[in-house]
Amino acid sequence: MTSLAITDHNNVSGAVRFIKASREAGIKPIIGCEVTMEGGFHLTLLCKNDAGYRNLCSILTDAHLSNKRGQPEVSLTSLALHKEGLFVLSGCRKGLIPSLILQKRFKEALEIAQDYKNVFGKESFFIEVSESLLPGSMSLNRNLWQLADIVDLHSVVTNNVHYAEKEDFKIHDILTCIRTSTKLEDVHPERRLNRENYLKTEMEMGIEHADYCEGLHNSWALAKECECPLELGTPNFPAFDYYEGFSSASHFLRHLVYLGAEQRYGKVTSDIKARLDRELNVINHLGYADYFLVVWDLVKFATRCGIRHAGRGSAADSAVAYCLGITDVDPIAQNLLFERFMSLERGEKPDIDIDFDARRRDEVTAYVYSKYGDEHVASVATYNTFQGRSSIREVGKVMGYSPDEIDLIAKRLPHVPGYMLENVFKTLPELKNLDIPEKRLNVLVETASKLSGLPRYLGTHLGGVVISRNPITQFSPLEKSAKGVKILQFDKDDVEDLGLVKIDLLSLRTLGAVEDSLRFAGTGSGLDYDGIPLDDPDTFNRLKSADTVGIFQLESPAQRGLQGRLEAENIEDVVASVALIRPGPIKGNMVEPFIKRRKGEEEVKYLDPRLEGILGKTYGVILFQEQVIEIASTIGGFTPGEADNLRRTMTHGRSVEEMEKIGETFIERAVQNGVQEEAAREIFECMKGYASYGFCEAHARAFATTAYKTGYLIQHYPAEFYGAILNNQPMGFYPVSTVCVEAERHGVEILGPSVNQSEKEVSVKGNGIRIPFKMIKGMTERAMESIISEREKGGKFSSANDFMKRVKLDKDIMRNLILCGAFDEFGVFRRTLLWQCKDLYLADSSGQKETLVEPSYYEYPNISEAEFSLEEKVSYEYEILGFGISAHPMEIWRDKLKEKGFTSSQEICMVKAGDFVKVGGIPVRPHRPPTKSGRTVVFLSLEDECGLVDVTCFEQVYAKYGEFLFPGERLPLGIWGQVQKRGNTFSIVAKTVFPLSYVLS
Amino acid sequence: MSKVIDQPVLMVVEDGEPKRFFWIKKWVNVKDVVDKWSESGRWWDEEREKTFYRVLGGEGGVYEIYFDNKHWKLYKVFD
Repeated sequence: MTSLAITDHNNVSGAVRFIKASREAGIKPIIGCEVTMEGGFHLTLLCKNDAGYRNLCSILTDAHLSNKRGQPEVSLTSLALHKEGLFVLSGCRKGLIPSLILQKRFKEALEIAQDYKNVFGKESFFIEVSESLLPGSMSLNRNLWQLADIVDLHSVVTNNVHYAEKEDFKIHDILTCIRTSTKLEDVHPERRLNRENYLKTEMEMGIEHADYCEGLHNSWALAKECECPLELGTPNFPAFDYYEGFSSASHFLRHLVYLGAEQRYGKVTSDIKARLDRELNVINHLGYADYFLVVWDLVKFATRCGIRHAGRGSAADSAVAYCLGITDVDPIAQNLLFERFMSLERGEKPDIDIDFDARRRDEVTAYVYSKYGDEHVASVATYNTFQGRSSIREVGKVMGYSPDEIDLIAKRLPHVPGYMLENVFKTLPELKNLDIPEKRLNVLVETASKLSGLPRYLGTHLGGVVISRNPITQFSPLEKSAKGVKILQFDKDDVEDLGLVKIDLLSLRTLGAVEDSLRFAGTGSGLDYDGIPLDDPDTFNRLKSADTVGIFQLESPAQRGLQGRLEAENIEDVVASVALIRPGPIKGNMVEPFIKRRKGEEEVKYLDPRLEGILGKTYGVILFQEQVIEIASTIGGFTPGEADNLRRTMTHGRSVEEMEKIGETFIERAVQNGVQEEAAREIFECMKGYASYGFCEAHARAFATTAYKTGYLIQHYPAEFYGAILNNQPMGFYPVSTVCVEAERHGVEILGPSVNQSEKEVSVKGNGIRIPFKMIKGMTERAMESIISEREKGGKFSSANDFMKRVKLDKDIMRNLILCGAFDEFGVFRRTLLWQCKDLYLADSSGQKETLVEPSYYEYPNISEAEFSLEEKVSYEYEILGFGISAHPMEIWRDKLKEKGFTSSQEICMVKAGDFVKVGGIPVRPHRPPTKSGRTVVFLSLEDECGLVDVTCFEQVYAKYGEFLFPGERLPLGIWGQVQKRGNTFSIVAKTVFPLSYVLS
Repeated sequence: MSKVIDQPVLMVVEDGEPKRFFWIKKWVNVKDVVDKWSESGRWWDEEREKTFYRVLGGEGGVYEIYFDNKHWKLYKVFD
């Protein structure tokens, strides 16, 4: 086979990968598309050249943007307008001409063929003949050949390929069932009748069309005429309209950098100048001056508009980025490696990631669109692929599993890629005893695992925006995302191969929380976020006591455990903390040595004296990606590019062989550099131990600053910061209920929703946080506005009746307002109000009889006189708000639990280490992080009315009680285990796990 | 009108294609293959793939026969 064309339906998303794979296989790639014409008929388009590809992009953009999302249609007018550079083929059986023939409407088929010939010309329009062994194919193909003769057109032979091998038909059939919401047992016209849509060999095609060699020859001739239209890697960076008086973008960039350097450093020393010049040289040489200016400009916009932002990632390794105000970490003072960010040798596009206040990120995106124009800006797509859970859900439906069965399996299933499914079903205890026949389950798991990694749909990248110099539709068609944003048909990697530059405008809810806490504190408080001192003893004491729930990056159980042992004393310790709790350092067994050395309990030793300069600041432990690079270049004599390649191989978990190969090179060169072979091997083992994910120092520093400052806020402005966390949900590691318990533990009062006091958003008064309307389940923008505007217009509501007379709400919202206590201030029982409200509501409603209470209540009218029990109230509050206002469930059961010998989270610190206790609570985030031993250990916290108890379940306990630990829902758990004290933290090592209902009933 | 038979028949094959089959005590020659298609059927129930032929018999009858990679069967006879 010498050439192959890709013709996906209405998209070219596969083009870049197809070109790369074809070239690797020595096959000429042809780019095309099977488009849906108006009326639903298919037509095949192939690009002859660049112009053809550009036209194809325009045709597809038009088809997608001018029709309903997901239902693109190409008009013949659009096709005729953009016909240059395209070959048009009459299409499969769903093409207009073949379908007319199949309906025996020969005359119309001839007329259409003649029309197409008139529009596209004989040299560009072809009759397409393919064999899929479907009923009627033989006569269809005979008729198509005849038609071509009559109208004087050439016909070509094609193969309608939908999968590579015959065996893949099954997966294709499953995918078709998923797409059309069909069960395997049901019929659907979209499902293929047979396995004939596989990639046939040239010989198979020859045999199949032996009686029609001319068609085959025409196909080869056509393929010869097509040129691959995409030149991968040719840069098409955005153009920045620099200010007058400057000769070029680089000139302007230099000016801005030096201006910024004066502000950042005061005096630009020769060292600073040398660093800036070196960076500018690389940036200009690689052609990224405009790119830096674009980023500088949008950061400037955000600053001007008061949109909180922070640069993250390896960009903080650049002094230029620092001087431009893009990042806030001084890489010169911190001795950060610019090469981790950019290098001439690597020549790769630098990634500048900026976090913006999540609620205002769209303003920045809008600015980019308005500045560079719609034609030059679009969002990057993501290829959403089938993962373990989504495959199980979808295949389950197709195979006729009931929704309950699917839910049971999917909720217990951890987030794993599809190829791991068979393994997790074999090993995870919570996936055993599912009460599903083994054979049936095996078929499901086996089939679902085969979908692993296959594309599911085109999604929108979280913040990736492309700005191009030439109109963007020259590179990719555009389509509408679910949110209505215009997206490219390529993902971030393909976009880079196309020579486009992506800018990540990310949203970080923590920045929104920071902004809110400043707003809650008010200008009178004197709180200045940028001026927060980095040496506040109270903040460090807070960290030392491991009291860090709510603090950015430092709140997970593992981080709390670390804080209690590390006892951070300065910002450097926070930087290390952020970097330590990562898979790399954890698996590399670096946490314990780091803590011991930091506290002076263990001597710091170096395998080679030269390592002291590199690892000195992290006590001889490899913590940052930059250190891997530096070791490779200092010890192994690697060039910066080689060293970075090593870092990439390690962090992206590439093949073992590749790692071994690099290891041998490293050891060989280290020995040449005077290192003993044994030491060189050991050094490389340490570097390998770091493999998989670790932070770069620049990123850790940027995050550590935010972590420390949020720690300062939570320590000194608790109501404001806990309120801000609640206002920016979902954010952080913990559910709302935990945040509320923690806030109350720190003396903050959580005030329930109130029709007279609540606002749309969280409000903070003194030491109290008022739960806003938006946190009530089912609440709508319209409902919130009608309550607030009526309150502003007619004054506060005097009673529930007054409220119901003045505000008309949907019955579900009304029910939820009552049940979460928003009318409690009027002194009427919630249940009574629900009952009254039902009558009022029906009197006012427009004939629609909707009941507000459960039908069973009607049978017992007297029940309305009594209030709900506390347990019922809390249960409703959990359903509606996600936490209890009236009480915490554990508070209700505390007396009973005490009787049964349970210890509360508050009392744990009084128990002797090694003693056995029983604890109960609501499980929070049970998870199985990577461990250095490779064994499965489950960590979770139990939340009660006083706080959290951290629990560790080792493999044996997990194997026995897995179904309670991961039941697929949040049910209160009881745990019996041994108290462990490490540093300033307590935790329980579980021996037995049981549902708390066992002891409560 | 057609009648579903779905019975195994003795088939003479040349190059994998049907040539004549034995039906009601006599041989029917395949004069022409009018149509040919394949069906994967209920693959999830391990049903075998079938290749169908609609053929014109030498005596003028129209038949639908199939091969399921094991047996040849006469599926339908058309009046």
